[in-house]
Amino acid sequence: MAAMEETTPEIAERLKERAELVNMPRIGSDDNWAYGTFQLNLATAKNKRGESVEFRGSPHHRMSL
Amino acid sequence: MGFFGSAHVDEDDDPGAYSHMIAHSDLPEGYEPGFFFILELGVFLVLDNYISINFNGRRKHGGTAPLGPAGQRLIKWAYRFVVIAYPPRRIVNGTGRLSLGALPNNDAFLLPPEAINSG
Repeated sequence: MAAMEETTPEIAERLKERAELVNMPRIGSDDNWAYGTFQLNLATAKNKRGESVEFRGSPHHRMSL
Repeated sequence: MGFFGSAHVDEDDDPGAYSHMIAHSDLPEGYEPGFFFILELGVFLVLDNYISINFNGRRKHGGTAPLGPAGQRLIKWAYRFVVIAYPPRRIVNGTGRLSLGALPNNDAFLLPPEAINSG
């Protein structure tokens, strides 16, 4: 969010106004006017020829909040 | 994730808002961290530690896995994690029902839009 305020302040302003207007829930911090939810992705390494030696099938795991 | 993994568009993201990603890895010496691409803009990021990016999730994007040296058994603890903070349309534009918590019998306690804003 700090990056947006710095580089694209007009976009930051619009998003802040809209968050106020629709009473968007502030996830994680009252200052969060930008992000409605979060997801954590874990990826295991692969060998350079493109196949995973340790894991077959789904090579990464996902958790959503 | 294949070698050119899962390029996709986040269809349910708000078109006017941005996703934020921060990447960090626990990789042994000699491993490459992988890349993140925003395909339609022709840009990519090397996913070194503490790298973060704001991008529009409605643009096609994808990434490649961390790579270990060819011919060697992969080390089990070699992981990269990323945290994505993103703006689902229905949450950020006030039209969604929000889940406040769990109720008995696998039900959810939902807040509908009319309970959240008067618009």
